[in-house]
Amino acid sequence: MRGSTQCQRQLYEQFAGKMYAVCLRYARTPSDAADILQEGFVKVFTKMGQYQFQGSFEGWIRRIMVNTALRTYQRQRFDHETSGYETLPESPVEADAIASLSEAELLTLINKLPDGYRVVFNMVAIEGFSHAEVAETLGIQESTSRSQLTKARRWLVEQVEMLHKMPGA
Amino acid sequence: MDQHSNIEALMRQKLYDAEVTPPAFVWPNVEAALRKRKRRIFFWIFSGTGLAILCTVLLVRDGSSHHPAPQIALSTESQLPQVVGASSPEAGLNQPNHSNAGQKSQVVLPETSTIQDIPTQTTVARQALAFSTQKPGKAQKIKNGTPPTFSLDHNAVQPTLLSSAETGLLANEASPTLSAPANAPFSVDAITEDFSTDQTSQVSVEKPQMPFLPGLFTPLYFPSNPGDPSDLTRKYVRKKKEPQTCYNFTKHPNAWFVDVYTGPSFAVKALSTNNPEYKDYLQRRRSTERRDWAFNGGVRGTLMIDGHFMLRMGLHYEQMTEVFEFIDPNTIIVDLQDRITIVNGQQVVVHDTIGVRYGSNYSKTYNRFGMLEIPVQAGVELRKGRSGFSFNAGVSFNMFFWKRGAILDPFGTTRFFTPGKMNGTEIFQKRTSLSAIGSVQWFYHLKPNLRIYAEPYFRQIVQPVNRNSHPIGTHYGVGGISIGLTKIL
Repeated sequence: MRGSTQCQRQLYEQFAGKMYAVCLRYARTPSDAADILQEGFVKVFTKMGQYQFQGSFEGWIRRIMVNTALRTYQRQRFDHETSGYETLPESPVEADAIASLSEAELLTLINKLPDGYRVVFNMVAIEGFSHAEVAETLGIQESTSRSQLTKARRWLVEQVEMLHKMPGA
Repeated sequence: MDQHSNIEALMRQKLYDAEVTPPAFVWPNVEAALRKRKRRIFFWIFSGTGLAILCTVLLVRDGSSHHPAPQIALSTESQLPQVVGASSPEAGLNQPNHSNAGQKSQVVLPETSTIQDIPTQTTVARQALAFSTQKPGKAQKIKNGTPPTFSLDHNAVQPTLLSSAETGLLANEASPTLSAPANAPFSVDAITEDFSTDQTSQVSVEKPQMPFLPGLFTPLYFPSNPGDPSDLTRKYVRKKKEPQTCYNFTKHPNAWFVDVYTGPSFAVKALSTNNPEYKDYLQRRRSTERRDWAFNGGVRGTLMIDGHFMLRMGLHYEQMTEVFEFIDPNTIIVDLQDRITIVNGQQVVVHDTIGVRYGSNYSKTYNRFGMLEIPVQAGVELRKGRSGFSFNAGVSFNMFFWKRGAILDPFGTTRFFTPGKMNGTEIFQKRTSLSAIGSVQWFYHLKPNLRIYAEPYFRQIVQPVNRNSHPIGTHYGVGGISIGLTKIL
């Protein structure tokens, strides 16, 4: 697998779609997501020998993509980030509103989250990391992780409400 | 809380396994990156293998060009039998050394030596002694005629190590002697034939006339008392040979050297401007760029003239590394959204600001500059024993200068100068012209033809490396140490 271009291509085609969706969730822009996907697959092919056949292969590739995305985020991150969204009021949102949105719309919403919020939301809400794991991975306090998740959630709810109220939506 | 969990569960359900077709250019880029990586791995493998082969060849050549002369000596008195030949007892006597064919060996025996005195180290010595007469005495020249010469043809005489049993047998037997008419010159061919056929054949001599044998057996001495049992108790020890550790520059004052080296280096940068408008920018540049360790490497040829003076030329790679670190405390990012709606059957695009982010933007980049150069130096070498110093100075011609990294532009924005980078800027010249070099080398001879050395150096790039259009002048100097091996050819 490590040496055969044809096998590599097959593997790429099998997982590229899912992994690109993962990258899009973590990246600021689609261009950044493409860079992460590329770097991630290069790592997958060069570190293929390290796969221990424990857990699913897809899970292993996904972990590489997430780690690559986190490294990119840490390289480009805003320190001491503050945001104008903090003052947004908390408002309830109906589950139907989210259910009615397509995957692409949800991805677009997540992309618009500030970097810190987006990463924490992705890790906790989508990937299922604990706050302790997030804190360790990103080098932040657990309380910061919780706080950023709350703010991300609040912002997303607000955006979903806005989309729901839009004419023609 | 339940509501939050529901939202997250819904999001996870929709997004965890979501698939989005990636752009078409990603796979070719992945392929290209893998190819590049493979090429890099091959490069290192080939370089490593080549270096290993080179070192092996150098070491083997060095070892084979210096066969120490074998010497066998008695531990007592000054009457030491010596076998001086082109091959060592181990290598030459156990296994015939055909490469030494035609070379002459010399055997020197003390007056008191008998066949028993010659241990198993060499049959050449035994054979030499086999030419002795039954009447011991000092060797003399043959009175009439040209003194005969002996040469030992190693192809004809295959020296073998005699076992202790053989030695004992010979000790108990009468000493084999050479029979020859008095004053008659020996025939070398006949002797060598005897050696190759029957080494223990007895030969008798009527009159002891041991000639001076300039080639093989000069001079030949005989024991004063061959029957003296004390001779048997003598122990034989190998005479410790003074190792030859330094190249003989007296004998070969002109020689070629080849150096292979690598080592750490450290770039020193000087930024300057004459324009007072850019003083602040100069300060910001200084505060955002700092030095870091890099490396150097190369090969160099040296011509030693008259034992002390040197001309040096080679191919040198110098890498300089800096760290660019910048925190922009006033970063503002405005998030915009374009919303397309249909109003009265017509598309209307609405630009909407959906958020503004204020923060500090941190960026860190390792700036790297690589230079491929041809240094030309002159030097002088001073030696004492196995080590010494050389002092070198010269110039270096830059052939190739690559760079990648980022700096702060005059407007306070991070700009990349890596060629081909989007929104990049051209700050540096393509080449760095001349450098002035000075170095001091300390070396130590591992072998006569092989040195290890450490050479601290400093090179100053004469011209500024920036383009004329850039307001800040950038001068580089590089200090480092090259650690390497020198092979004297």
